[in-house]
Amino acid sequence: MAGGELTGSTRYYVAMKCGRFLLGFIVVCTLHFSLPRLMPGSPVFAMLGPDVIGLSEKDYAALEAELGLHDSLPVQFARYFVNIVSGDFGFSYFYHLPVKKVVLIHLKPTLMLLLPSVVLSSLLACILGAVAGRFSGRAGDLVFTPLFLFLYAMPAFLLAMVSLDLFAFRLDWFPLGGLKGMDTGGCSPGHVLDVMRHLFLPVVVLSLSSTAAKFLVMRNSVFSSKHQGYVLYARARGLGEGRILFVHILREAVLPMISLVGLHVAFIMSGSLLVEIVFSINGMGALIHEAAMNRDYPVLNTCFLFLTLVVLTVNMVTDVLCGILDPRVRV
Amino acid sequence: MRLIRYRYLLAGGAILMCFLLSAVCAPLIAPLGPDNGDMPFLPVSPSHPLGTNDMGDDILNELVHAGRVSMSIGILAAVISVFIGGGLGILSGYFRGLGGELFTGIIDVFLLIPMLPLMVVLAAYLGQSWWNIVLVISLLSWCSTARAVRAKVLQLRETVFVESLKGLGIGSRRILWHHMVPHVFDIISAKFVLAVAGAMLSESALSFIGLGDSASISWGMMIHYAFKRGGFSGGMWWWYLPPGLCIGSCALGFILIGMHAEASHRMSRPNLHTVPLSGKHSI
Repeated sequence: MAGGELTGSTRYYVAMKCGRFLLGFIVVCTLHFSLPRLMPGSPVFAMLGPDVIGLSEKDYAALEAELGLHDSLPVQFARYFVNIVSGDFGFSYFYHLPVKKVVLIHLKPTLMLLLPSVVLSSLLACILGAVAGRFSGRAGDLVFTPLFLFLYAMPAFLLAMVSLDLFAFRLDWFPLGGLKGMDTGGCSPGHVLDVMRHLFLPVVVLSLSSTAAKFLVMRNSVFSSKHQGYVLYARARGLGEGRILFVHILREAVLPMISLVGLHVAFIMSGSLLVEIVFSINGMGALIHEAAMNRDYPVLNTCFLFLTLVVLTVNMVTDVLCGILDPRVRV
Repeated sequence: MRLIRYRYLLAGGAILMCFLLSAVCAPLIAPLGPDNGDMPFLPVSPSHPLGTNDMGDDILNELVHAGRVSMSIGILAAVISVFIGGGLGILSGYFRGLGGELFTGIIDVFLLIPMLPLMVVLAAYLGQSWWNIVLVISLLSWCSTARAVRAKVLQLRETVFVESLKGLGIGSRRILWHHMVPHVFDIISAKFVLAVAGAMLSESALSFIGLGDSASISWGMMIHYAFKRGGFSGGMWWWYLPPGLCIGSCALGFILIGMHAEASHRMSRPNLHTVPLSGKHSI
């Protein structure tokens, strides 16, 4: 990164990653396009909902023509793609609003839950994983490894239900759900504190349930670097164990973690949808839940598109970050 | 020392034995069957060890019978997904070329897609039935198996023994069936147990959202009903907690066995670095 001759390869690497993002975008759009057309039942039904039942043959054919379903598939796809790029995702027959508007309203709470959880679970995994790997076989390792495995196997929504029942219903430490209390608004410090108080429990649950995989990778990579030359040398120089662990070993082990974090965003996303439903946060999870109950296919389909775009974006960012921090992964 | 090496396998096996036994002996443990009327919303009592639900059914009975549904969905979906993943992985690894590269590229993209929203979309389109859930889960969870198998086959086809087989004039089909399949079998079996855990967790998530089959109650459906019909807001932990713990511990059993399989696989080939627990990527 520092030398002039490296910028070219950095640029190439970033371009490669952007190319992969584009490939992902095209794959997802293709899915988004073909799902309503491939599924059993007519695409008109999938796009306009139960209102079309009972229409006469003639009205039905007129609707089909209006939706452009008589054209050949490539023409339909081209038109669809232009619509997507210009931000037209169809119309929600349940909410009677454009789909884009419905989805964007619900995306914000999900991101407010998702992004802190990604950061918190990565930090937890790094620190605890490093400690468990460094002192493997001792108390820290023997407690954390089974604990995280257990949390990993439990469904995220169950953890959410138990913690809500325990800490909000019974102990009354936290609010019962939602994102903010009744009387606050705007960006005052009180409002921010209130939102943080509401977010605390869901973020902790989501982070704990998604720490395990990263924790184990961290633990194993610290464990295997324990006997490497540079660690021995650092110890010979008389450095303390804490400094060796957090400055020398961690610096090496953190790099592969960054790309792993990117890969795990999709997994945390799935958990976040379920945790939201339990905590009655009005985000994408609630929207998907409601849309699935009401068979609002355009909204469901577009939720999937938006969530995937979020994951693809985070992934591209972590990949690029990883490549800039550690030129070795660019190969 | 021996026991420590097999600790994951032993722990996982012990957990799974309990669940398999209870599923097989369901009529003995829970003679009342899933539907049995009594007063609704009864708390824990000697005649109903876990109380009754909103329909007045004994929750312990329902729990034992729901285990059969959850586990059979998990195992069936995992079998199908491993078949698809293994088959495509072997073929794309052995007959590499532009098609194989494109295939890996598309798999890589698929592994990034958050699976739960896609599963929900598909399940909503296809409608609620036991078989549709199996289909949706298995069709969306074969990618990581395919990638691992393909990587292994790409390594294998460069080895001397495969080259000498080709030199002897042995046909591709025979090489694939008699020499490739046995060599990837350990990867496939490790992926299989992890896929069962992933499939069970996916099923519970789909059911929790309300896309499960209401005709055959699984553990996930039990939690769904407890959540929807006042069990959760009424603080009836004996309704929603047991099915949740069952899903979790059953999945944990499969994950522990899968971790043992992956660890012993890694130990025999130390240069192969695999990310543990990649099976759960399916949700």
